Amino acid sequence: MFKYCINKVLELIPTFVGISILAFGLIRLVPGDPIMLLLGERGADPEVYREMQASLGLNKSLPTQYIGLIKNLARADLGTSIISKRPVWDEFKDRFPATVELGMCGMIFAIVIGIPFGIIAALKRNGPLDYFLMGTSLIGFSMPIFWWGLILILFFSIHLGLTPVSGRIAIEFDVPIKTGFLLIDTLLIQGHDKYAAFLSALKHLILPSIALGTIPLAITARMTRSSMLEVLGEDYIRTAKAKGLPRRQIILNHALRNALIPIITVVGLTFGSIITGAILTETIFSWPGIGKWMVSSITARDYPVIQSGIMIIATCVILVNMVVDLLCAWANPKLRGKY
Amino acid sequence: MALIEVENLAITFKTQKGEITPVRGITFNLEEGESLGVVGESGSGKSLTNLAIMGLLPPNAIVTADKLLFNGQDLLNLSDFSWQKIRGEKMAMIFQDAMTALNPCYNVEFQIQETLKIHTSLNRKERLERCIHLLDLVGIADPNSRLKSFPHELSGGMAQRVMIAIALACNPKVLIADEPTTALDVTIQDQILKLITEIQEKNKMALILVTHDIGVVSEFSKNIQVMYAGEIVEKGPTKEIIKYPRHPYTQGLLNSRPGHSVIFRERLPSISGLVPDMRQRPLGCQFRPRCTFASENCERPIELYPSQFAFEKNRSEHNSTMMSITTPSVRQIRCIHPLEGERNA
Repeated sequence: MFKYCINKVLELIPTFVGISILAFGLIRLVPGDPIMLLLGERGADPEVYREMQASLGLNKSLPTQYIGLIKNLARADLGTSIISKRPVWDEFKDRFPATVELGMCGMIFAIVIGIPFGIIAALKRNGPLDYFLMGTSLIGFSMPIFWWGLILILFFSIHLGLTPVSGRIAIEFDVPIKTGFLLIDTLLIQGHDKYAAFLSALKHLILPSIALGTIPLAITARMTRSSMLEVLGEDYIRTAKAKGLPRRQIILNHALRNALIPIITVVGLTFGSIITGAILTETIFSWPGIGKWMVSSITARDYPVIQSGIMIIATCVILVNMVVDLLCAWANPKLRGKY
Repeated sequence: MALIEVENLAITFKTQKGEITPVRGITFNLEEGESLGVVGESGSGKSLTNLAIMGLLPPNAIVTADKLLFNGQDLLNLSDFSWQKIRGEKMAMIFQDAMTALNPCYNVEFQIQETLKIHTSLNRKERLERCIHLLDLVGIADPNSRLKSFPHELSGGMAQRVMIAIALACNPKVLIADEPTTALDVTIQDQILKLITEIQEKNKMALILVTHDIGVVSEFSKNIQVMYAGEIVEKGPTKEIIKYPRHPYTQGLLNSRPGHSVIFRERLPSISGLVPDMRQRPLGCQFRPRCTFASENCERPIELYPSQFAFEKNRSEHNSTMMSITTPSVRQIRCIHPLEGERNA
């Protein structure tokens, strides 16, 4: 177990080098210049321009700049935003819980609905219900998030007026930030309006979670179906029947338990897509998370934010994958001894 | 009343190419404590018949029978709930490949306890004791530590022993062993079969031992039932059938296994040809296309009938050798011109 973790951490090093080169290089390939954006449309005095360039360290050669970045990262210094002048870490800290909250809710939505859908489809294989569920999930899978999010807003928020259009919570609630997760923070408020605040936060979460969770849901449902179908044909399912177990117990204890092993892997892999999905979803729903932050930083060519932001996001994805690996090992007794 | 009564059982599958009936006209009784061997080559419908008795056939199989009774209870129109009461508790089954028949995600203890949990009112401690007792019974050394083993940590023979322990958990009245030793080494095969028959005798349990090896049956079960192309072609007491096979197929099976009379370096005789395609069954006797004794008469439909021994007439002359033979009406065959006399090996 310990050795496994060490190995994983060592594997991270080349991954980080690769990601940092990409993060550093790609943004510099994009035309545009943060200083020009800072100084405004009318252009600037070349003197002022050079001064700013020097103060931001952008007048040095690219390799020097890159080495500077690595040196800073090694000292756990993520740099300072060019636009807001605040440390990147502070900016990140404020926004990250919002994204995690949204991502978790999206994932929960995907798993809680996707796995039962997959099970039902597998049990009713080739029946009308199976075709309906799998057809629906195929549509869900092919749906572009930006379009799907807008349709959800148009229908549920504007047409039916059921949910708010954007943001994390209604303006009238003043929630002191403790954990950063509004669902928890609202419940920590002292006073009688805490449930109202919680409900408001929950309502704001529903549509973005659906928009974000639809593609993972479709993947989960299809994966669950095929994995269940495979497992249901196994000999040990027949053994379970021969033991006289009730159907429910056969399906949940014996079939699903084994089917979960590949499902965990796939769900873990979709976590990466949750982050990319969050960029779109957060933009559509004005969700103050890191997705929206990255988009606005890219527009502003805020180099330090983009570089460090990408590094942090990549770290998160890698960490999640490590957790998924461990979960897989836990789910599969054959792998347990190997870690 | 017999424990299991089967009359005219047929199994039909609906496939895209039409209906096929791989098993038909099966009639037999199994008494309490009786051991019955079922022999036949692959595709003869042995396993299907037993899965039908356990109600474990896939949903696309249609089971029809004039009678399919367990302990007087009709198995044909049984609700799921009533099946759950019978399976595992009164009827248990051991499968061919124990490695795949055990759930890889659960340890031995869980898999044995599960049966006890549903069918008995034992508490946790009693269940654990029963598990240890069962593992001990099936000859697993150090049962306490084996309880926590997962299937992939067991050898094939050990896994089959665990399967037997699971099957025996609730002291079933019938144990159906569907080729329990096919996936095992020859040395282990014998041990497992001895174990099964020992427990069968001790618990006064009825046993159906399915195998494609007639040699196995000859040692381990009292009665034998030979199946071919989904039909019973011959049945009776094992000793008699081994010595005086009457159906040409039975003789073929007996001759194609290595015995004492085999001269080394000589090829074992085999039955030429293949089991008929279930979509195009031959007329009359199913074995006719492969039978060396076949005649035109064999195309007429034939049912299983009680056979009389031709050699019985000579009983007085050979009194000493015939003493062990039970009443002749026990034997039944499905052949127009049954073989006479001792097997010509």
